Amino acid sequence: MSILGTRVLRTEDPRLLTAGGTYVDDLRVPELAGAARVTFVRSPLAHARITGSDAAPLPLGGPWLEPLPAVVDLGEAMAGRTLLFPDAGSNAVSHLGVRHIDMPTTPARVWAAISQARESQ
Amino acid sequence: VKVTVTVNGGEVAAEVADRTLLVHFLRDEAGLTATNIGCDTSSCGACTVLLDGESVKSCTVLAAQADGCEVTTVEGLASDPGDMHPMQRAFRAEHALQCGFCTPGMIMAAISLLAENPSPTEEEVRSGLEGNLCRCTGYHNIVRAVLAAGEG
Repeated sequence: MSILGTRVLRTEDPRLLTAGGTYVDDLRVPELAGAARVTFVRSPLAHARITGSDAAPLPLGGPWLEPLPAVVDLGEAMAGRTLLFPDAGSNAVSHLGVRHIDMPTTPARVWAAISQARESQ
Repeated sequence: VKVTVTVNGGEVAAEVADRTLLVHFLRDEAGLTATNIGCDTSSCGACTVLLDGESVKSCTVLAAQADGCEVTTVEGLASDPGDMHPMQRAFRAEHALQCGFCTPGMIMAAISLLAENPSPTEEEVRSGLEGNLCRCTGYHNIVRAVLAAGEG
């Protein structure tokens, strides 16, 4: 019977249904041992001109941060920090004085938390 | 904090940070990566698992809250390797998945739904699964699969 015009069971489905797919975050291979993770905090502004950035003097390193090769500061992605564990988004901004970010975490809330922490310093 | 959870019938114990979420415990300590993290905010349902038989979004449950409990993930549904749970078979037969990202959570939510209501109407299936988002299928085939897996 031709597969054309006929409902055909997909061969990939049993694995997707019983063991799940293999997405990037599912990879458990030796090559990725100690691999860094990155969290992007996106700008709450859809379209804006960047007139200055104080990202450069951010202290790098620490128990949860690895040195950052470059801070992406163009377009939507405003600040990238490499992270060592998945829930490190708040850790990544803790050195800016941020101790708490309202849930659910949105770009606007992250930026608000950073601004608030700076004002109180 | 020391957490011991019975996951798919086997005991998993680990010393984890207090704030560790159940979904991270399942993925990183139990090594079960079928349960996906989609939104981290309880919106999408990709992380749905059964906690003592009831569906929960495991990104909103602390691992410590599951201490001493039983958790079932999609990996633990089939009784034999190579076999499938009736819900998994129905999903396949009705083409209720494409990329497969929402599928583990969708199946766990659907099983929980049928446990409460073995013969739901289409409307009840749609409202019962409204906490689970799918970007591929448009939901139609998922609803058909759950109806097929139900008692009718």
